[in-house]
Amino acid sequence: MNVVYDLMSIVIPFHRQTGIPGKVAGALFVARNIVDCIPVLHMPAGCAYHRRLIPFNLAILPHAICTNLTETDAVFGGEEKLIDALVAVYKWYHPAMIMIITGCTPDIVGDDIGECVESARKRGVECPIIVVSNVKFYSLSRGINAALIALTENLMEKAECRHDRYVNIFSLSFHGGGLNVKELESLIKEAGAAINHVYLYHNTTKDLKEFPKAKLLIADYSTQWTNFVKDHLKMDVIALHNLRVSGLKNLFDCCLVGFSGTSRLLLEIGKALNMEGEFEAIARKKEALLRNKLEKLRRKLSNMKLALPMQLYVGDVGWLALRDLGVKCDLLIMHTKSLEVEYYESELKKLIDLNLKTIEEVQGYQPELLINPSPEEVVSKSKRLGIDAVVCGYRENPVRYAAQGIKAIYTPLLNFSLKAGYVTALNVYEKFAAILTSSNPCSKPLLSLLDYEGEFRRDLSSFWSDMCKFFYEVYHVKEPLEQNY
Amino acid sequence: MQVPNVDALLGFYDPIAGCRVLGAFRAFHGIKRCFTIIHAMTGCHSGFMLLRLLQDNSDVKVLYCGMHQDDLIYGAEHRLLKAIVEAHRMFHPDILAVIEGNASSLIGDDLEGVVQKCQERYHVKTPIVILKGGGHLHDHKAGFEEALLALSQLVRRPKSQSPRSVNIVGVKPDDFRANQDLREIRRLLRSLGIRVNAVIPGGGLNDIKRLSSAVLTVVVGGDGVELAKHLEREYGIPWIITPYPYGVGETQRFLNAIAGELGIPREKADQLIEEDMPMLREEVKRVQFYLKALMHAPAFILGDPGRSFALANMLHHEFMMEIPTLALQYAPAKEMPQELSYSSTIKIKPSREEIYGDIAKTSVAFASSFEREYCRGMNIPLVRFAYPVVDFISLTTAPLVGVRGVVTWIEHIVNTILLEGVKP
Repeated sequence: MNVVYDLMSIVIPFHRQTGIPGKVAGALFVARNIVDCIPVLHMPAGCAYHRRLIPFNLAILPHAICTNLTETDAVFGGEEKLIDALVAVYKWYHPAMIMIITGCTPDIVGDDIGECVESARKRGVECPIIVVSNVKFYSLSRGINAALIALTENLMEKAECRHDRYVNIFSLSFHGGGLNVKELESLIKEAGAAINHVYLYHNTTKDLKEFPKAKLLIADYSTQWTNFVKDHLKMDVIALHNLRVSGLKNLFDCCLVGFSGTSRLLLEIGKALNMEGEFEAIARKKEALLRNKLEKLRRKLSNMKLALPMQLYVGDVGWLALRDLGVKCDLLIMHTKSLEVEYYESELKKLIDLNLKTIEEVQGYQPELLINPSPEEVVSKSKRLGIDAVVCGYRENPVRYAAQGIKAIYTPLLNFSLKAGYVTALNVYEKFAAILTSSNPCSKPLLSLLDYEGEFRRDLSSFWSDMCKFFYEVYHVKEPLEQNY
Repeated sequence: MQVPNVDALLGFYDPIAGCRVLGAFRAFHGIKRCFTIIHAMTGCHSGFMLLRLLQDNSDVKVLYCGMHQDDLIYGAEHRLLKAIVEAHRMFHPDILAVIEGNASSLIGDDLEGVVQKCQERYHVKTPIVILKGGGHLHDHKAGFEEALLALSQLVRRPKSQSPRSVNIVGVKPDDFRANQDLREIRRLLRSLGIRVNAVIPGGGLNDIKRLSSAVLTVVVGGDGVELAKHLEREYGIPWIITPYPYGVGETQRFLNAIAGELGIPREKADQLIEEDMPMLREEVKRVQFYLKALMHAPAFILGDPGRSFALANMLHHEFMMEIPTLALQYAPAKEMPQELSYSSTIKIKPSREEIYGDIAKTSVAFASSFEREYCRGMNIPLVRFAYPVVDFISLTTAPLVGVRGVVTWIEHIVNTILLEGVKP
């Protein structure tokens, strides 16, 4: 029994599930980013109909081709329909790849998808057919991982000619900033290495086939898929955010974004490519070039006192400001309610301890700690400690603090742009500093009109954050602008 | 004229409408303080919830039972039980609706047994209605009809019938500007001296209970006709299908039909229309150049039968546009008059390729957000009106129905063309 799913039926409304749907949506998200791939949804028409709306970024698919399984197919199997669909799709669209994504009906009925693929081949389908079928693991992004693993297993053959200086970069658009990796690309090239491909956005089947040519993969997070790449393709993997905190002494040890994080990342890349000297030189050169800008921001913010949210891994600009800009954290706010679903009490205690020790190591003293406080408690403590701003992650509601005269910075949207790179980090720090030092706080936010105490709204904050993240992505995330790095 | 479905020849299917489960969800979710529990895998819940939340961020009435892949072997009844008990405890809803998805329908969970256990052992007092069978069977319309029929078990025997009171059935609150439309329909009927007894969907538990007290059931656009027939069988309440009151002409037909049934003189309805005409005249004056430019513009319509027929009539007769093709997401009620008063090809559940082919031949498309990407690619303005509209919010009070609604339509159409019709 999986703990998370068992508790889902208790945590109602589990709104965050809206943004973290099942296998089909995740696999479709992957397929959508491969321009010459046609996904075939082996499921009833109704499932395919609403999956046209990709929940991760509200994209709408122009086509949602399915096998239209009916009750008869649920009894006798839908294999014939799938074979016909594969043949028809191949004839109609001539795709470079077909991705079969099965729904719960064929998963239960037990359609032999492998046999269908064979039959389709005999009937003339020549392109690769990738199958995303029963998913046996429980991660919330299992559709994406399942599709990527299927692609790695079936499309990416072990490279005959691996290039020792080739690097793959992998970033998903909803992992904050998406393909905002231009600076990282530029740094890697400047050090003398080469970019094999940047995934996953408008890639071709050929790009994916060429994935194994690289020696190293740089990904946003370590996932089931990155582990699979490590094992199956024997490729080195560096994750910008390593989510495993066990054994860590400092949360920053697994964070490779921000100004200092980028330097550490370059050293790690150098080590992986046996180019330590080249990458260290680039890191020193860029640091020296941009250090002045960073120092200017440090001078501006070094006396600022913040309340920071607890971190499972450092991905928040407020925390990075602690390390790179010298701000102080005098108050740590921990909301453990939703974590209690996934963590034992002893693990939570370790996490709290790790947060406190990390802050102590950076600034020399531990902050005061509030566990599951009410907004009123945060406000009163902040006033007593002379906090300049409360940094709010997904679990906090900035509106409630702002309405009571406390400056609140809602950072998840800023974090969206926080990727590896010095200029990238400085851009985000500048925005953060501008908000922090602004003398004109919002005086009457419309959202403060809402009653957050009401029964239906008590879990709405994190849900609301997810929704606004989608919307933010719609208007904010664009093709990266060419910048002179 | 109905054109054969090309997809059947192609070997694959690209759906243009949701399934039975989605139809049922829309009916249940349209009832105030009715919480819907989706007894299916997470994808169904996430999909349905998103369709709703993008229109109304505050709507939290769709719940997930927590079913997981492991449950497909041993059943997910325990999860549903937990979900019902928790939903009852946490939200104190007026009604709990349980909709069974495909996975549950295949493994054969005993939903009635779960409900009985909730009531007997866990003292859940909230009325619970169930829709079994998943989405394999029938279509979107069937799900909507069946869900309304399931709710009819909550109707109470009438103590008395209120004279000149009507039930309004078939306006779906999650349709584009439907809440504003319901307000305007109420206002129009009130002006004729007619009391709206109940609105389903759109009303709450009390509306369902008093469905039997009306003297007439008005099925707006044809969806919900099975509930109307049930009310006639059980309580002797006559029913009529009226056009969706889009445009001056269709509003006139809508009001005349109801007035006629209730013995209200036709002149009174005409007078009501006339009262709003000076305002419409003034607004038309302000957009006369735009309207002139729309003359003979070929438009494509894809939507539900009730609203699509009415829209086609309005666009042709009042906006002077041509509608070479009218595509319906599902078949209209057989009792509904399907004739348009001008020549147009009507396609029922056409294939998506056919739809895109038809859109390519027109200047403006009237459809749902799901047609957006194609229209964008073809530089064809897409006037959103059909379900689902998930990329356009509607908060202002302006309705689309009635004479006042014509102004909203003008604004919607002209602004869409101005914003989306500029060629690169």
